[in-house]
Amino acid sequence: MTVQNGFLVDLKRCTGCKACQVACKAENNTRPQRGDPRGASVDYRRVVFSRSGSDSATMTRLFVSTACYHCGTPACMPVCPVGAISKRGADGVVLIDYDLCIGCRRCYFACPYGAPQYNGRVRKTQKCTFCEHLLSQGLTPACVATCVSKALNYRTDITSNSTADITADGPTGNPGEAAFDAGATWKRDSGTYTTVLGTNVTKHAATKPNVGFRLP
Amino acid sequence: MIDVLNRRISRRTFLKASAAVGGTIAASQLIFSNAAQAAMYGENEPDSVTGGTVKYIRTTCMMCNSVCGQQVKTDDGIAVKCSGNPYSPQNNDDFLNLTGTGNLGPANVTEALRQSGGRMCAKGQAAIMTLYSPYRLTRPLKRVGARGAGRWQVISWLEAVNSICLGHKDASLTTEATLPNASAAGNYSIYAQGASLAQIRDTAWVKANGLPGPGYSLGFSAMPSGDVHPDIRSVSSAYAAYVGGPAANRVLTVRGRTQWSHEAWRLLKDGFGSKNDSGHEAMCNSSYKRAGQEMVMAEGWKPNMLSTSGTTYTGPTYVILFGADYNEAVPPHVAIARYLADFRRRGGQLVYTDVRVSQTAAKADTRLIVNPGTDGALALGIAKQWFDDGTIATGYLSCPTSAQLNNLDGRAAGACMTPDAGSLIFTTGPDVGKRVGSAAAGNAGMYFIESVTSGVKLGSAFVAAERATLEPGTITSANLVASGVAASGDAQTAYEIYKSYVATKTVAQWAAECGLTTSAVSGVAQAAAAAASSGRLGIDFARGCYAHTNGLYAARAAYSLGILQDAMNRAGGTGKSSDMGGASTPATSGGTAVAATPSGIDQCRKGATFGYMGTSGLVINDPMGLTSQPRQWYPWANHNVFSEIYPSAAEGYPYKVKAIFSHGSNSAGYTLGFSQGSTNSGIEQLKKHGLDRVYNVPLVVDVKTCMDESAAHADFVLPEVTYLERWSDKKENGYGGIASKISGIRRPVVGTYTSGTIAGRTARMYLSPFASLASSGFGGDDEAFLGALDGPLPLEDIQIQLGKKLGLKGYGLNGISSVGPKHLDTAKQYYDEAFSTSGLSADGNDGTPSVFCTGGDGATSGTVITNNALFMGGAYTDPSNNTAGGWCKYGLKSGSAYLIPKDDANANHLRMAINKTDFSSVPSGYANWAAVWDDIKKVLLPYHKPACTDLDPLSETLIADNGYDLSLATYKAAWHTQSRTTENVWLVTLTGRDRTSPGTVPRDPNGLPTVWINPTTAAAKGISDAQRVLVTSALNTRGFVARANVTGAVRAGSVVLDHHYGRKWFGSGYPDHRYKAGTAGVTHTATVGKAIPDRRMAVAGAFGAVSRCTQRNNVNYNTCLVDPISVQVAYMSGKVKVSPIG
Repeated sequence: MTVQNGFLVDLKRCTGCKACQVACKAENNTRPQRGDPRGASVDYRRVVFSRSGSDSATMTRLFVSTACYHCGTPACMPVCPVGAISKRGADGVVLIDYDLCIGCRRCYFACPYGAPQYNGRVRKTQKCTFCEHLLSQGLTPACVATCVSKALNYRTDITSNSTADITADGPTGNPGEAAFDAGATWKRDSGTYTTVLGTNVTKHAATKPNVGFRLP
Repeated sequence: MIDVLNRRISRRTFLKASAAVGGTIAASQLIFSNAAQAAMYGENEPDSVTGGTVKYIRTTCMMCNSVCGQQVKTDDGIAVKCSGNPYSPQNNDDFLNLTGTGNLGPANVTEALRQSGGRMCAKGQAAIMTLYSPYRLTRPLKRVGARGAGRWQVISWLEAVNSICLGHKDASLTTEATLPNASAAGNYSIYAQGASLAQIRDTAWVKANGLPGPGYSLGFSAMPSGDVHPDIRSVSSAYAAYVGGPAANRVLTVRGRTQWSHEAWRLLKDGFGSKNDSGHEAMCNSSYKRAGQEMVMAEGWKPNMLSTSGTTYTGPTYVILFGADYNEAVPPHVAIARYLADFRRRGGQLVYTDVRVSQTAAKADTRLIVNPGTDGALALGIAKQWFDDGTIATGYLSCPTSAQLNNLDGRAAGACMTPDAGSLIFTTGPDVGKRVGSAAAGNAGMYFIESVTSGVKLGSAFVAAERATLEPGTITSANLVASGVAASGDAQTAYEIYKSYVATKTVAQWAAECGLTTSAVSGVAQAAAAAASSGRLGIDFARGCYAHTNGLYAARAAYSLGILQDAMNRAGGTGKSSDMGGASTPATSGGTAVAATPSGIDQCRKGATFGYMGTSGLVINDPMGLTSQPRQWYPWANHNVFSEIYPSAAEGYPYKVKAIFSHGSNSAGYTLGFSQGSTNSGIEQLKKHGLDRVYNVPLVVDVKTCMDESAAHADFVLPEVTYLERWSDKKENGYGGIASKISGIRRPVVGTYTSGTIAGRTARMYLSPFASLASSGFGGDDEAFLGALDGPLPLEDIQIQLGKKLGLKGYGLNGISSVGPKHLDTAKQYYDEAFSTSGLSADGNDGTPSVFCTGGDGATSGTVITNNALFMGGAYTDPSNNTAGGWCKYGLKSGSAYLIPKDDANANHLRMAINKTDFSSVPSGYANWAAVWDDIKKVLLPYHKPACTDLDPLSETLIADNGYDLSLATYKAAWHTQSRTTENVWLVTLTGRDRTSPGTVPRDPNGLPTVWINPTTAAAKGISDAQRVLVTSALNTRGFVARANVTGAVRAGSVVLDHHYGRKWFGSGYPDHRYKAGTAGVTHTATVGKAIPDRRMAVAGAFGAVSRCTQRNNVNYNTCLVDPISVQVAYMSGKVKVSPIG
């Protein structure tokens, strides 16, 4: 496998504050901006909320920050009729060439995570670029930089097995977090650190991470 | 590989666009209609990262009042990104301790860290959408229809200032009668009201001399007796004169949740001489501050938490949060949410209690979702377990003044240390005589003791007893368990009182009251005690479990437990620039003594003490010695009672109000109906008028960045700049929740500076990018300067212009000082002086706001850095140095959020002034000694009153539900910015419900408020998830429509509503913005769009403001129901009915 960038989400830390979502919007100037108050929002990164249970003592409220996982084998790429989607060899970042995109939305339907989003204003499908314009300057992706609780992080080579910089810990007893722990198959690091990578996803939902509820 | 950077669909060209913007400013002033700028913020492409036009400017955020640092990236003078300031410890753990003159920090502070090292919440990052909001007001507006009719006329600053200060040019200014009575029948014109600042303040002078001019400020009339309410006059003319004070008191200033809150209206207020000024904090923070005053003799102390014992954030292993929802909008969210995550990552156990499974509760290791209003019961249950187990920190309690606890808040040596455990002890032996009234040898050693025999008094030794006089270090031990006869009465120690009260129920019974299991309460109690035994227990509170009361209940519960377990350390805080060195900023109007010396009684009744004596009527204790009052005054005198402003003004009680100046606060929208029979909010008060159709409050001026309910009902709306377009050195109202001293500086990140002369006086001015000064401004006289201004101005500039027009001392010529001389013609001059006296070198001498940050690193680029504080956006201390002497002094004495002006001398909470009460006889306001003891017990204990959400605050009896069976509480989402949420498109897109199934759109497409309701309750009422429901209350039977969020996150019998729903007027006129149409200076009659709710905004569709739903009036008193103990209006709580629609 080639070098692969990946986001890490520490589910124990994530507070669901949506700062990453706004940071992404602020950095990438995604829709809506001023003067466009109620257009369908394009959010490369979103914080997904879910809940279950009917008793306040035991019910769960889950939230996780999610964006494009820049998959090892992106489901979006082969379905593009014009070849607008590519995966960079240097870092595995998946990008859409907006000049080529015809807005057919096949990638939108192909992606199990809802990463590509259709911008009706410009009639293109757009998605997370891993803030590669920042990475190339030695800077941090906007979502990671702003994360209030330090839950979001990224690695430039997630194929390595090194977890030296990740603190391990076990299940927390929190009902919500326990549910996250149950989805052990998609974790690559110890404890509740979660590399929501989507690596090698080839089919819809078949290997979709289990974070306690269905990702978008 | 495709180079996406080089192949884009909609490249924005900043240079081109900004050039177009620049040209447009001078041309049409209609900045926000500029197509180039709209395009700039309209499409998808990252901003430039580097380049000669990219700069980083560090300032202080104000999207809430957490006082986080903010770093704004600008590109060619346009703000393009807001992020956290990496230098501020609020935003970054890796504290960049840049100390020493000229030292820009360690070499390893990289540019990358400077650019992306600061963390910032959704709100702060969205500030840019407020700065460039399409809803912003850009020009003064004058009402040309009835209040609230939405008809406005664009006017110039010259006309606005002239009208407000002097009245209409054509109106007679010579008689008092012109004030209220000059109206033509049927005419709601503001001019017909006849009110102007000049007349209000000194009608006699105006009558004798015409328009104000030099010497005007020397005159200072007494309030016309006819303006004092007849009930007051009926007592005596002397009393009426005392209550009324000077005529200037008829002007009220109101301020919102701003970080220079106490300063906001200072220039005008102090120069003008009115005693009446109130702010949001009087409504919001006073509650838990009151708890601090009552229980630990300090306004700001919290039984903190993450700074307990030793190095910050590494102390506690077990933390209990009473409603402190730091993962959402409880400030300082950015800092504490991060520390909580750290805390849990290192194995700390987090306990969270609230009425709702908040986002903090969702992350807690133990969650205690309790019945509304049972904070106290929970604390008592925990305490009961401690007493049963013998795990109280008795060693600490019996050594109340040990040295290590002294002086933590920077008080003068000799002051009482904060954890006033002295209230829990009985001293004996050599310590007798040093306990109460420090110099009063012979005082009995009893502190707060309970008489078990009704009618027995404490004795004369307790005259003027003050807890604050407890001498540190003089008491080395005391008996916690003692009873007997003291001060002529049977007595117990407070410890005994506490213990006996707790023992009235078992742990199981206390738990049941909260709706919890016994094991849940005892488990938390025992784990907490174990942590406390090694100094590792932290307790914190915020708003608490009783709706949005900001925590008196929660605070008392937390204080109480903190005292019992020695978990009372408090650290951190915010300060102001003078804390960095040098002198204080100019005191008042440049330090020049003003002619106006405020006197009289606040319209909001500060300083008056009142009680309620059941059927015997109302009792008043005031400096005039009046002992009875024919009608209700505010039952508990608070510092200022924000919520009383509009109703009191409209009522003309205790005296008439001629003008209200509001800033940065939807004060009328949030103010509730107080007057008898009123069912509407403060805006209805503004519409009240007499038979002559003259409004009860003739002049209402609102200073705003955007329209809201208050502005929509004003006579004049004056456009103000956002916080990104202003200077400010004051952090008077910030949240210092972390163990660092923070003195943030606010500075403009966009805009320009200009210099010139005004009437021959050299002046320098900052201009918002949306403002301009025509060439005729500098170089002309005062009027020419004012006439040349256009666009939004900082509040200080507005006040200076008003002050100059009135000829008040302290403005214009020699306004700052006759030495120099230093004039005061612009806000920039004021802040230059403020920074200068604080040891800061103005703003870098050349007035360019980005001079310190060129290229992001002034040091390496060769730019002269004159001051680290300006480079870093403030001065900060190293958290690791928190044991240094003087620790905390910045926070608590200079400007913590928890600071309110002391009013001990007249405090009358709990019906009595605990601190200065003459105990030689039954204190005034009490029927007998038993009632006194009853209140004393309350001071020691958590507030415990079953079903307290339904209590009449006066009688403390239950109010019948009348079918309104659900307890309503509110919360603030993490992306909630109070009054700015609904005009901020980014934040609006974040609102929505939790998803219950895949594919559910998180945002509510219909923009309805969301009511959280328990599945059991919903089922009983036939309500399904996402169904539309009608929410009504006894007061608001019309109610409002909401969408049900059926969730187990709330208990059966309660419902929870987003605090920020229910706004009606935001976005008025969008997208036409016709209220901005027209040419300044021309008094045409341009029709302005009627202010109507903008349904396209996600959260603006809720017609019923929350307050309308929940506010209840007591028809027997001219007051509203308030939080029974905190003296706050309980406007975010109450009983409601929820029923399905369709």
